[in-house]
Amino acid sequence: MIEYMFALAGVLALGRIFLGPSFADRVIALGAFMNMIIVFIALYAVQTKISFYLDIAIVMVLLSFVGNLVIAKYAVRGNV
Amino acid sequence: MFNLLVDAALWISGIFALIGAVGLLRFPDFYTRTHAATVVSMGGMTLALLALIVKTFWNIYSVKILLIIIINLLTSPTSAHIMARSAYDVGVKPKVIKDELKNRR
Repeated sequence: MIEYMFALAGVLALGRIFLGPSFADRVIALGAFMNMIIVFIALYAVQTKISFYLDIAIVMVLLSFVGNLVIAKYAVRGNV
Repeated sequence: MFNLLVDAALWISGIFALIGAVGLLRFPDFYTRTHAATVVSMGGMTLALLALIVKTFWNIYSVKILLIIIINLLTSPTSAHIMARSAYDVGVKPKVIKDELKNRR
């Protein structure tokens, strides 16, 4: 039941990704959506008792941070 | 006892995620949407992962989930600050009357 609540929140964040006016709205909404995916992965790993899925969650947290950094630097300077 | 605590924390984190997503969709401005995204990151994700730590108390799952929480607590404010500053430098204007950063340089 918790998964459905997070899924509804993810659908609302996807709506903001589709109709965001500037790039920064889309990046912020994408960060929130990726947080929801990380919660999904953690719930699924605890339910099915496979601990290797949590490594994917760690890599997704780091990739979210590096992606935000690269997009911000590209938007200000014009190159990376 | 602990089952009740875990279920309550998971429900509260789901409600926080819904509130943050509705705020992300309904707020009028980019900078207020940053606040809503922080609500999703803190109230939704961190509370759900703390509930999962309490559920699987001390084995490899708890250590990995604790690592996720520590990395997220370190990188989420930095990311929000960087995105707000870069949006202001590019030219996303806030819908407020007073603009403190106008005469910055």
